[in-house]
Amino acid sequence: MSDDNRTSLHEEIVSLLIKLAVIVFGILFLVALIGNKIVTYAFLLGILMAAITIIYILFLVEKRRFLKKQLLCAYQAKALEIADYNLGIITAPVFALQSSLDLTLCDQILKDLEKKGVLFTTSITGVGAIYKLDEHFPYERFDNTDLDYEEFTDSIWEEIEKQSMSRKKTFIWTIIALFLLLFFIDKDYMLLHKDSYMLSAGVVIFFLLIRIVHEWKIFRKKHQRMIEYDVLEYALYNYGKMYPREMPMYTYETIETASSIVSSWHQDNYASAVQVEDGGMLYTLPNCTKDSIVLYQDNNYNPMIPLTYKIKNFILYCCFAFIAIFIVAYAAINWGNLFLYITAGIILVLYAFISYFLGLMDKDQYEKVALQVAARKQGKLTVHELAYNAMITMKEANRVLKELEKKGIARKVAQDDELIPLYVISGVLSMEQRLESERV
Amino acid sequence: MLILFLTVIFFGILKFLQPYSTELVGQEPTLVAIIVVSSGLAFLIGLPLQFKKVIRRYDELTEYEFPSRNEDSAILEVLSIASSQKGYVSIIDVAAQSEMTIERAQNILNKLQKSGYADLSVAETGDVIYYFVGFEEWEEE
Repeated sequence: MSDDNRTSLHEEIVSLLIKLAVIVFGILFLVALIGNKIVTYAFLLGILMAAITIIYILFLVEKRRFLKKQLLCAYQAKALEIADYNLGIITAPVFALQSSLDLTLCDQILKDLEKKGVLFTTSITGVGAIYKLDEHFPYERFDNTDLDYEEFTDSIWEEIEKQSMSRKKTFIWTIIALFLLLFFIDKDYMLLHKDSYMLSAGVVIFFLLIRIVHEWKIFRKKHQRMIEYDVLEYALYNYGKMYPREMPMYTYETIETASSIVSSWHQDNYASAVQVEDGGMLYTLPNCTKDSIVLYQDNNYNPMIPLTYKIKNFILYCCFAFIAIFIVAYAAINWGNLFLYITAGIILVLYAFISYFLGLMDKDQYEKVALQVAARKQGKLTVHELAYNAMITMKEANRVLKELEKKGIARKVAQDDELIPLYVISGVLSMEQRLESERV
Repeated sequence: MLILFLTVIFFGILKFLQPYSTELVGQEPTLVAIIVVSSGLAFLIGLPLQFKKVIRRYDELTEYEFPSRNEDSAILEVLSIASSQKGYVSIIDVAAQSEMTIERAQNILNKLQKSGYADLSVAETGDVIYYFVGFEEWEEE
C-alpha cells in the first residue's frame, strides 16, 4: 500500500471514529437529559405510539392493496405484450423465458387470461397449451407527437416536492416540542384535574379524527381521479374506443378494474357499449378526436408517493394532537369548560367554512377548463373531455356541466340515436359569426 | 415486518443496557418505557426506509420488473437453449451450452417434462429430445 493511500485510509478511519463518538455522546446526553421524563411518562407516550401504530397498519393495508393490483396488472400486461410480439401466440415456457417469471406462475396467469376471454387455447400437439390472443386487439392508436396541447399548470408532483422540505422542518420542531412538553407536565397536577384532561383528550381526538377522515377522503378522491385520467388517456388516444381486455397494456389497471370502471361509465350514460364476436364488450366515448386533448399532464402516477405523504401527515397530526391535549386541558382548567366548548365550536365552523370555500374555488377552476376546451371545439363539450382536461372524475365533470346548464351557459344536445349528452357552450363563436353580428 | 424487526432489535439492546442506564436516567427504566423507546426508534429509522422501498417497488412493477418471483436461472437457461433450437433440446445440448453437468441437465429436463411443460420426442438416431412448445416460428394468418 502506498504512503498516500495509507494516509487517506487513516484519515477516513479517524473521521469515522469522531462521527461515531459524537453520535454516542449525543445519545448519552439526550438519555441523561430526557430519559427520566420518558420513563415517568412512558404510559402517555405509549398511547401516542399506539396511535402511530394504528396509522402504520392503515398504511400497510393500503400499500398491500395497491401493490397487489399493480402486480396483477403487470402480469397481465407482460403476457399480452409477449403474445402481441409473437404474432398473438404465447405458451408458459415462452412467457417464462421472456419475463423471467416462475413457470408455474406463468401457467396460472395464462389460464387466468383464458378464463377472462383474453386468450383462447389452440393445442396442436397436445403438449402444454398454446394460447392465442384475441384477434380484435390491439386497436389502432393515433400518434401523440403532433398534438397541440398546453402543459397543465398545477402539477401534483410540484406541489408534493414543495411540501416535502417544510414537512421535514415541521417534523423536527414537533419532536423538539414533544420533548420540551415532558418538562412542563406534572403527573400530580394531571391526576388532580383528570376530568379536564379527559375532556380535552376527547375534544382533540374528535378533531384529529375529523381531519384524518377528511384528508383520507381527499386522497381517495384524487386517486380515483388519477385512475379515471389514466383510462381516459387510453380512450382518447384510441379514438374513444375502450376494450377492457387490452387495457393492462396501456394503463395501470387490471382487466377487472378496467371493466368495472368503463361499465360504470356505460351505466351512467357517458359511454356506449357493443358486444363483440368473442363475447367481450367494446365501449366507446363519443366525439373523440385529437382536439379533445387540450391540457396535458405527464402521467407517471405512483400512488405510493401521495400515500406515504399522507401517512407522514397523519403521524404528525397524532403528535400535534398529543401536544394539543395538554394545552387545551390547561386552558379548560384555567378558563373553564365553557371556553373550551365555544372555542371547539368556532374551530369546527371555521373548518367547515374553509373546506366549503376551497370546494367552490375548485369548481370555478373546472368551469374555466370547460370553457377552454369548448373554445377549441367550436363550443361543443362532452363529459369525458372535461373530465380528462380538468383531471377530475366523470361524475364530477357531469356535475360541473349540469351546473353550467343551470346557469344557462351550456345546453344539452342529444346526438342522433345516442343518449350520451353533448353540451354546447354559448358564447363560443367563430370569426365569421363575430363579423356577421349586428350591432345594437 | 421491518418496523417489527427493528423494534425487537432495539428492545434487545435497551434491555441489555437497562442495568447500566439506571444511573444515567435517574430511575430504573420500566418495560413500557423500553417498548416505547424501541418502537419510537424503529419508526424513526424504519419508516423512511420502508416508504422508499414501496415507492421503488411500485415503479419496478410499472416497468414489469418482478424481482421476487423469478424462475430458477438454470431453468431459464434451458428455455433459452430450447428457444434457439425451435423448442427441441437434448440433455447434451444443455450440458454443452451451459455450465450444468449432464446429470443436472437431465434432472431439470425430466422435471419439466413431468410438470407438463415439455414432451419427449425421439430422433431417427434414437436420441431422446425434449420438445418445448411455443418456440417455433409462427406465421401470420
